Amino acid sequence: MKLTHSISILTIGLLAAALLPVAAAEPDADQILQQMSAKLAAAQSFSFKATREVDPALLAGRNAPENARIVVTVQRPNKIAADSTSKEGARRFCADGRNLSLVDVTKNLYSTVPMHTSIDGVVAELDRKYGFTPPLAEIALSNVYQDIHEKAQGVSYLGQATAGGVMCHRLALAGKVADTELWVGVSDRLPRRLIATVKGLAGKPQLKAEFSDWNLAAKITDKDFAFVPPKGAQKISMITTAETEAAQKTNKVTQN
Amino acid sequence: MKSILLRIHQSSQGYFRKGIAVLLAATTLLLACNEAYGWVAAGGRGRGFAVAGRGYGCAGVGRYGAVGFRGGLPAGYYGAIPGAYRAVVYGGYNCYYSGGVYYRPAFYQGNTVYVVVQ
Repeated sequence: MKLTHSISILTIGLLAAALLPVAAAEPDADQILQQMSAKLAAAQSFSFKATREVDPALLAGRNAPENARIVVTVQRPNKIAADSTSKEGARRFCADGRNLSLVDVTKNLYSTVPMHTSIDGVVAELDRKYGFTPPLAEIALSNVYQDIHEKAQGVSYLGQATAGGVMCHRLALAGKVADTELWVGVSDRLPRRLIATVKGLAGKPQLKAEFSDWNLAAKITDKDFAFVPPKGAQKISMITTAETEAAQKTNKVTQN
Repeated sequence: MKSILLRIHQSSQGYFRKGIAVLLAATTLLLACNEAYGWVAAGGRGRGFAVAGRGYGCAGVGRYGAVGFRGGLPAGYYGAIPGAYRAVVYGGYNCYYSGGVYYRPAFYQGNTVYVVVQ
């Protein structure tokens, strides 16, 4: 009787333990972002490639999506270069801590403006003064995590999927104007895919970027950022936002 | 199997009450762990933060490499020279002349545009 009682108690206990649901811990999206940011920040000289596809609805006056191949080279704290190639032409962006140069390789035009600041400063100053930023420059910021938190209204975990043959964590970044999916490699914690879906527009147009060829120990020297105007290239001006606003006050804005 | 159970029974004889307490403690721990896992699971999915800002996507769309023009082009700015043109020097600038109008190339939001020279 006592043995049976003991066995019964033990059996109940084991059954109870077996039936109790053990929820697997879901990866922490915020922690993944932190790890990704830390890994990128720790890389002093790195490079990566990306293909970028933009829905035509986001491009004024175009019917076909703009596909570009981009190569980004970074040397912290203040050097960044990006080469972009698409059907529309080729462009090169280069900041060496003293100056910033932009080249329209196809039309053989270039412009150089003073820019004495870090990579973070370049991104902010370009955006403020000239209304644009270098392609995928957010990836090169010193604190990508902070930048995301400043812009995203929420971060959540979507699951895992494969991008470019790499198993990734899928993270959702909710924004006011667009929602973004950021895919981060499970094993290497590097950005692999980004999909930004713009809200409020018919068809929910998207901007997509696929990241590859990460090299976090790239052999980069100052020469990689030294700008030499292409032979025969014409030097032109880079219009500032202030100049544009002044023009808008006196002229009607048109779509061209 | 029977001998193992018998040994369990024999060892628990003097410790029956203690055994119950241990079992209850273990069950409680399991429940607590599951709640913790549940919290992590719920937190991982529902965890968020309210940050007022431009929005990553908003900044992202316009920021991802000078694609298109934010807010369109101001009057007098053209993405391409309308019609046939020829290169000339006008007003101190290397310009293009087309249809009675002089256009000066410039970078605007990272893209090449042609600005009417007044």
